[in-house]
Amino acid sequence: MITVGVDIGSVTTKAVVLVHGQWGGASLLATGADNRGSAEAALVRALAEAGVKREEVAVIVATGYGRINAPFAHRQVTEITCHGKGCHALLPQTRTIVDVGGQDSKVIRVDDRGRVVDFVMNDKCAAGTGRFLEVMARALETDLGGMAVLARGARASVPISSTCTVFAESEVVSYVAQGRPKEEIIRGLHEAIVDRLEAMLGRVGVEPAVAMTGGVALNRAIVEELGRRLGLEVHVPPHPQLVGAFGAALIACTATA
Amino acid sequence: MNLRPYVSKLDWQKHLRNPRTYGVLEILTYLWRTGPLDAHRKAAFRWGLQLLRRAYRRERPVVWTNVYTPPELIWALGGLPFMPEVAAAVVASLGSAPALLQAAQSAWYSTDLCSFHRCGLGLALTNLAPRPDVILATGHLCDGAVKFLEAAAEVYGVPFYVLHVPYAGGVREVRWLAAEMEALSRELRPLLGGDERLRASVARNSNLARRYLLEINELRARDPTPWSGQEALTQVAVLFMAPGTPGGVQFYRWLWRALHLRVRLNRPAIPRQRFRLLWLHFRPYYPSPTLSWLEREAGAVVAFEEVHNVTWDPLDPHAFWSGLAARMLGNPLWGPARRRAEQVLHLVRRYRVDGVVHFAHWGCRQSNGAVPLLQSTCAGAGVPFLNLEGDCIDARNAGPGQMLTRLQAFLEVLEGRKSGDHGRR
Amino acid sequence: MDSAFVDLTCSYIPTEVIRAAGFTPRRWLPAAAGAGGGLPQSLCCYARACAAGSGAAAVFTTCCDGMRRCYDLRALRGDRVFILDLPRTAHEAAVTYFAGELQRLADWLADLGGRPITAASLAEAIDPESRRQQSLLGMAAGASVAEWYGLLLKGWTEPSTAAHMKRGASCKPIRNGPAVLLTGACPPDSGFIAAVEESGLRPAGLDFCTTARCSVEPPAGRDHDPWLALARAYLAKPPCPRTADRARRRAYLEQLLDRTGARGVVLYAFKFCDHTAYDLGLWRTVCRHRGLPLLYLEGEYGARVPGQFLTRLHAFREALKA
Repeated sequence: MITVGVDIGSVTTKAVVLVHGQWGGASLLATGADNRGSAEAALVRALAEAGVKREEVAVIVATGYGRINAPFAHRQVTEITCHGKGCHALLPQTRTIVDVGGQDSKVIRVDDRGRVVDFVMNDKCAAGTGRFLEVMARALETDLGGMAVLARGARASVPISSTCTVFAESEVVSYVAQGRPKEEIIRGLHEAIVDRLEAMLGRVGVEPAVAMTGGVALNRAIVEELGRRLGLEVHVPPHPQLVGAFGAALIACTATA
Repeated sequence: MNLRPYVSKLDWQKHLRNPRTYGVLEILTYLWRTGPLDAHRKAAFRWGLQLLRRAYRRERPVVWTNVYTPPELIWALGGLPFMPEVAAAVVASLGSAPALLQAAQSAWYSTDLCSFHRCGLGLALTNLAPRPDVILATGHLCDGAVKFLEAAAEVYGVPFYVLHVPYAGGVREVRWLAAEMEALSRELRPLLGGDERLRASVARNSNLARRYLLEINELRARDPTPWSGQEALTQVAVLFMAPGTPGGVQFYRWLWRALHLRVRLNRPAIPRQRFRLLWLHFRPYYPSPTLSWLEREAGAVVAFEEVHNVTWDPLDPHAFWSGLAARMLGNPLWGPARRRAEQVLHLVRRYRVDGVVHFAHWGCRQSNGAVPLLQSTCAGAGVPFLNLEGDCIDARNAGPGQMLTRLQAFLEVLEGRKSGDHGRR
Repeated sequence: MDSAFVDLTCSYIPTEVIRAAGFTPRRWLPAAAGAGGGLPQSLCCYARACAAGSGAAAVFTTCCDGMRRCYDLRALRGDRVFILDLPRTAHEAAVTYFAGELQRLADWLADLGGRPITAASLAEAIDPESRRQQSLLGMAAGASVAEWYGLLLKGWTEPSTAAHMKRGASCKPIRNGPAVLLTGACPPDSGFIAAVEESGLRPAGLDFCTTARCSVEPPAGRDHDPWLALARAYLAKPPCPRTADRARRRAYLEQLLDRTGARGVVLYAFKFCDHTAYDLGLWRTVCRHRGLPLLYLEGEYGARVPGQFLTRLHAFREALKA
């Protein structure tokens, strides 16, 4: 039995193919302005990688903000449930998931079966998301990968007090003008993101084990800082950006059982 | 400050200030055919039209006040209560809130403030609402109510009174508040009139309405529920302003009959009830497809909402002020938030709900500040809780897609608890 | 654990009652809001900051919705907290009510292990406390106003130390800049005032919960009952934006402007402080009536002064000098 999960996010679209419950293939591409087009393209690419024909697919589940733009999907499930399911399947000891994507962040608590118990989301502003880091990287004339390296190497940090991305950028510009070292500014930015995540975690409660998903989970500096704050190891599953699509594909398996 | 650009956009709304408009609309309601299942809607609408007609005609002194002030207090004082927060909800439902919010914003009222209050200020600044003769604020339930009414009093240049509502509800506090109400009634008598005979009729009508409301709440405990909380939250204007009047009795009588009939005919509120929810605070009053989706497509009905819970005793006309004082002090939404949390638990059990939704209206500090306590109370009782961020009046403060995602995810949680299954079919 | 201290979150809490019970009153001004203890981000940032306690018992008032909810959260956590119900007006019935509340506070302090307070012991505590308050507020501003404010804060927040008695001269006082009145809530440090001075403006008066509005006139002897006397004195002190007596607040603002000769007003609001947001309307009316410019700045409690503030302050100074 072959199932597919398609996660149409605001920044990237991902698809995962499962063949008899095992990883078959995946794709990740920019969503752009055409949700439907990118959903279709992601599906086609993932199927090609898996070496599977479309007509062999039993069930497709769509998730993410653009989930209504996948007419080929048999079901729509929110990304909260899909991330919960997917992360738990990859790391069964997970009970708390922190997902930080391009434009939103969420904290999800799951039970021992990967079912969502509680969640909280921030999708009203870019602060604390991948977009926040992108804006700051541009302001500091560096790239996202470089930021994580610099942050980990900094011995001190500057406080970033604004809750707004635009105002935080303005603070960064002020610090640069004052001659503060770039790595300290970047470290401060990372701490600001973790501040927001910590507040969200406080609202739903932290139950070990904690895992992080989404594109920002590839940033080791954020992962380590979060772990330090919580006093716990923060696990990152393989391919953290694909966890939502993976969870959707798993749910598709359940739906056909 | 030039408000002309805003008022000019509202030109058609000048008819709102003409009492004849309401008279004509009232006549037109005779053409509205209703049966026993929906006669209450017409009763509510007619009552609202009559209130506005009387207010614009100044048949009685108009008293602006905030919601949760018992309307019986104003009716018994001889005044006609007008609640700008209720008017804000009506204006929002007509899609006319943006211009009023803009007027308030132009007068430097921050967009961080509650939009019920900003819209109320917009009504004052644009002089669209019935002009008050006096403004009375109670600090019950929030600061913003006192402040926006104080500002409105300055706009109109009318007397402003504030009734301090003690935080605790003991005997000393009831006695103190009753004395304050009595002192207020003496001070306002030259302006509003009002005497003991009014108190007797107000108490009688209030008690009748209360009895019907108790019966209604009992009927709503049935499964499936005969009345949608979405509609109840729309009709909440009647709860805030009509008790104490014959119109209020009529509305609740018609509603009780309608629900009784629905139960007898086995006509639930929604055809396919899958989940029962308890709703906390209010709902978006501007047209919102998201909440319609909740009932029509997702089968999640609001079985009950905290605002309609009857927590007060009947009024004794011979102990009128202390009865009202006890009612205000006994409101679980007032005072420490643990009282509200206790009520939530009680309602969860009584209405056998699957989950609790708190609508986090932007700018409502008193309600949103209680969320950590409400959340932990529900978690302790094993009841799923959703804090749904949005705005009751200002559509700009809410993303429909974001609300939908949260509601869908919440229903998936409820579904998972029921069946261990995933996905919408 | 600081059992000798009782943290106070509002200037309407009579320090005299705390002292009479044998405790040391300390104004609680944590450094920053931090995570806010789980309170929503859209609550006043000072209220969110108070979600973190010092370990000492704390007294809250019903001064605002944010503080009420902060109290609820701390009570849920099992902290030793008390909430004092604060009337919005100063009429006779309010004074009587508040006197009752102060006695309730005294009972709670006794339950905490404090000395039971009698009318006599309270009466004895009033004068020394009044003198202490006046000596703090009456410190000569020999150095900069920012430094003066820093010393004043030490007097409120570290009452056991004599640090507030030291006079520093590290800042050059601004003598020649345009005089402005600063108004707002309770800045936890001198950063904002220092920024005002650095921009070339001269703070001629500070209308904060931690400054002029702390000034309580000693009871005038009208009441034989010290509880009533204290309640009356506190409700009659300079009204804060929270009070519902606009005429009295306006009269106070006019008086401040007369006394300081300010040529402009800088209103420093904390994000999500509704009282300050509504007070802006009154300030605008007063300033328009007097032909005074008003600068409105909105910031976060405990945050460093952002660059945008400095730009605005500089522009304000330029406008005043023009």
